[in-house]
Amino acid sequence: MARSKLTFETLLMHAAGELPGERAAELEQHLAASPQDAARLAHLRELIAAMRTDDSVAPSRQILERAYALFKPRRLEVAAPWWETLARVVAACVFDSRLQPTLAGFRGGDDGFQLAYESQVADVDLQCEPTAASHDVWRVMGQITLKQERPAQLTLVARGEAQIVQAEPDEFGVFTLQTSAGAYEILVRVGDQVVTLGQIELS
Amino acid sequence: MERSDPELIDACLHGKQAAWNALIDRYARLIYSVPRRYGLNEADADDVFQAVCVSLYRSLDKLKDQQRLSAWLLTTAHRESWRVGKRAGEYPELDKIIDNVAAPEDDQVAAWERQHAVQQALKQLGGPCEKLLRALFMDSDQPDYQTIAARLGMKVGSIGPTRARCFAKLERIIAKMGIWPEEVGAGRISDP
Repeated sequence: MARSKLTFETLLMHAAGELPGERAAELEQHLAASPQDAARLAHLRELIAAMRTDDSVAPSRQILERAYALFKPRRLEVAAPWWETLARVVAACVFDSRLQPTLAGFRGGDDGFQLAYESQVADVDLQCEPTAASHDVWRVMGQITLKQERPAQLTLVARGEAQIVQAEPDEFGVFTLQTSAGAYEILVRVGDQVVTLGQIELS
Repeated sequence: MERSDPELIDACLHGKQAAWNALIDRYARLIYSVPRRYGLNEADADDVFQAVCVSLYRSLDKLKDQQRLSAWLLTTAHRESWRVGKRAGEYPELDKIIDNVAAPEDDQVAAWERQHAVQQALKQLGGPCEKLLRALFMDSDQPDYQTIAARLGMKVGSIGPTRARCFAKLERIIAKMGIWPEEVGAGRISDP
């Protein structure tokens, strides 16, 4: 190779494939003896190749703005629970075992009690009993009988001061839930109505 | 000095909208190009882009120690492209284009990462250097030197030397980004 100075510009021209044949051959001879320059040439060729083959596409401004907006803190939308928004139907308590003489076959007295409610939408029978001698945990079993054949989602919510307990009745309207002792409001959702059974004390 | 990916993610996790925007700006082209390369139309590519951004947002905490997001984003965009493309039902060749749904090929990821690095470096380079290098190497019309000179208000004879200076700057920027080896050493050529 002629002892002309190898410049970065020359190397770049060679990387871009722009050097005439004779000069390119001379340069290749030099590079064979200079691993550092050869590595540099390889690097330049990689960069040029990346640029020449770039088929990337940028999204539109509108799409970018949508992506930016993902980060904005959303206004917390807390939907009111259904028992606060649906129309209420008050059920009447038509039977309370605690006010009756002890019934045969039922563990009445201090252990548990039975309640029955009626309303225009549904009748509800409840059986409440403690699960252990300490009366800290109670089991509430029962059955909901709809007055009309209507597609409805039956959801039972026992609302206590500190907790909400839900139960889904089966196809026969039978349900069971377990909760800690306390005062509760029993609500039964039937479609777009709430049947309220009033307060009961599990203690 | 541009912030690193972990720095941007940390700022995002501290509620900085500007950091999130910067993160999106940094990787928008990388993400969006994947579905377009796979043949998805603009609308479906938009959906893929949005889905990847949602995924990124949800994964910020998991990704905060990740030095380079590009590989994660490419894999996510790859999977979303397949999912969106199959759902659209309009891309009969998609199964041939994406034969491994789990992830793109390693060499493909590497090529796309190099293109991404060059794009980022060009943005940092900016000014007449960026314009010149894009015209010389990335313009699909492949304009000749005279056209470029006229467009950029340069003398034809100055294009070669200016290109070399700009390219050396580009190399240094890319070296700092850590994608290509720094030891190559921008600007030093041994004498023959």
